[in-house]
Amino acid sequence: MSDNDVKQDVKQTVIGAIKAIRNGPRAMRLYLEICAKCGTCATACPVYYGRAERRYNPAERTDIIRRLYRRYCTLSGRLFGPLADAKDLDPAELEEWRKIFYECTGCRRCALFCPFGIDHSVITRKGRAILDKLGLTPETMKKVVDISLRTGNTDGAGEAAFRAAIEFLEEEMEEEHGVPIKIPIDRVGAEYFYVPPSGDMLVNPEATMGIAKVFHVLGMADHWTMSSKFFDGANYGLFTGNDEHMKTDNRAYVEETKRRKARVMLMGECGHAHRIMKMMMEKSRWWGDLPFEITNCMQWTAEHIQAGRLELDKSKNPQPVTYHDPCNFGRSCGITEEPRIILQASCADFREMYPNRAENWCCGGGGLSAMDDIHQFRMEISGRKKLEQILATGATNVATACSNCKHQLTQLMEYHQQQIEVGGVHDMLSRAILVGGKAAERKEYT
Amino acid sequence: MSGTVGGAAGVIILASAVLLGVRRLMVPRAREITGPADYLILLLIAAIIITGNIMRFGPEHFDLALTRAYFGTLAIFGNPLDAPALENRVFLVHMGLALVLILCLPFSKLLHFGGILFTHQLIRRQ
Amino acid sequence: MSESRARQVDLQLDGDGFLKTMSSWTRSMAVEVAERNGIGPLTDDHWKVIAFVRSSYQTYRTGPPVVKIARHTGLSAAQICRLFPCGVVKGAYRLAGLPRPAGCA
Repeated sequence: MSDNDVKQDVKQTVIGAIKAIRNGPRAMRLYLEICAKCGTCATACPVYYGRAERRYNPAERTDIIRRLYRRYCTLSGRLFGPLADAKDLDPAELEEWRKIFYECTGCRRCALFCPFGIDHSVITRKGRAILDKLGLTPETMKKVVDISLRTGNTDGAGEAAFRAAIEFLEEEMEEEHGVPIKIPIDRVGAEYFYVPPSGDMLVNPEATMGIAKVFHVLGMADHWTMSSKFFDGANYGLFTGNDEHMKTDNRAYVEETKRRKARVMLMGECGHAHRIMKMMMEKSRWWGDLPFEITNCMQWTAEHIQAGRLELDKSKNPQPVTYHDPCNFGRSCGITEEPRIILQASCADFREMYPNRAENWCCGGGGLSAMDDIHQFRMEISGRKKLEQILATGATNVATACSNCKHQLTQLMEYHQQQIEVGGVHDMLSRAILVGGKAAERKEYT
Repeated sequence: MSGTVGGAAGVIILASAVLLGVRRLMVPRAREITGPADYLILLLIAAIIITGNIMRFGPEHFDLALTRAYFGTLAIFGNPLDAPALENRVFLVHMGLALVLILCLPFSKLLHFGGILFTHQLIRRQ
Repeated sequence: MSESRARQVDLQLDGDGFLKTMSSWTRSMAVEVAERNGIGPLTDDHWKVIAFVRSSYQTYRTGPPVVKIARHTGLSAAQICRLFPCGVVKGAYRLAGLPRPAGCA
């Protein structure tokens, strides 16, 4: 094939995908038809806040798709071309697409403030899906998806590593409390199947200790299990726009829950994993009726705290702590009060950052924190608002419930040389919970 | 009464259109995403408003009752060609542009004026 | 100075500054990577961490969490963070020649 043929081929693929929008969800078509270009989204966007440039304007980014949609799917675009803001594709632009569609964190804050509720993240994802079809997904993202589909977790860790991590956590907990606290693995018939993000197993394992302690205190140590093969809810198919990858990755976890004969799939502190399970897979019935329900571990723990079944010693966390609402929990899943219940019960000085809950600003890493090639962009542009927000609280500890946010925030604090610790919600609980009337005796971690 | 209210509305809507235009030109986050179609639509609306105001406030006063007769003829499928309203050139332009605007509705971003009523409903369902 | 050293030590790095092949790791490479990342001069504590990270990786094919490093080296997590200012993953793993971890972690 000549160079020209390849270009034509690429163009046909893109245009085919654009034309397919007509048969897709109506909300998507509406997003493309009715944007009034008022610029409100730009005021809500963390990236645009970080740097007010045209390329970072959400409406401009989505206009890349919109211009093509008008050119190929609307009468006015076909007849009047540029006068109707329609434009044909120049395959040379695709190189720019690779950057620009990965400069949106998909946080959906724009959708909250747009007068029409236009969700730019959906259009961004469409752009990424087209890139993926062409094999143009950035290498780092491609690598994570490959590893995840091959090994079942995004870190590519094997069973030995997982078992070693669990063993280590059990030793840690025994040392902290003087009693053995178990983390059951691969049990069949346990009531709860716990699915954390792999980052919570391998890098920030304290949250998992928190969960194990809650089960222990409730006398339910035999009622839950983890899986030695499926211990990572992270699903990068959401980020690359590839539905097939997303569903393949997801199915493995649904099947594993069935194999474990669990009654409840207990999702860990991972925003997008919970959202895919609860809001997409369950709601759209990807795999039909499920023999189990899906709950988040924060909802579960908060319920037990409110029922007075857990005792916590707040004085173990005397430092000022604030909570960063991960976009997927706060905006997309409505889980905002549960983490606060846990933190208020575990910390002596809990502080809100403003705005919060559904209106919270994105950490600036949304789905992109694995991409070190855009490290500077994440530190200086997309993360700027978050840094200001955190500093304004005066907190020395940021708790959040998303592996992605944790990674981004940790890097953000290091980059800007702030002595602020970043951790999970159950991390704080793990340090304060009373096991047999006694809180953890622990070395200083921070 | 209707004259006063209509006149006030004409002024207010003109001011609104001008403000929208000024905003689009002055606010960078809006200007940088504005394309020809956005300006054209705004110009079209401004032209309709201005011709309307000319009819009302211009030297050659236009009697509203004439439009009533004109639309009355249209409603009963009569012959509108000899309606006295059509002798006024400003009215012809005003009416013509308004028809263009209505034609544009389903094909342009103006759809948002209807779409706003159900986007939220639609999004919540999907 | 650092340029001349770069020529002495031939570093095969990926786009994120991680060694491409772990088996080619040498102590002088770690010194060179540290210098490029503004870490160091490397002390005994640095080497303790690097040695533990490497042995842990060789056993489990994944880098150890910071709490685990803290436990095995007797350093506190805060000390480790001071030793490797750009984070355990980017600092210690990089110096130890581990491949870049993939996911959100």
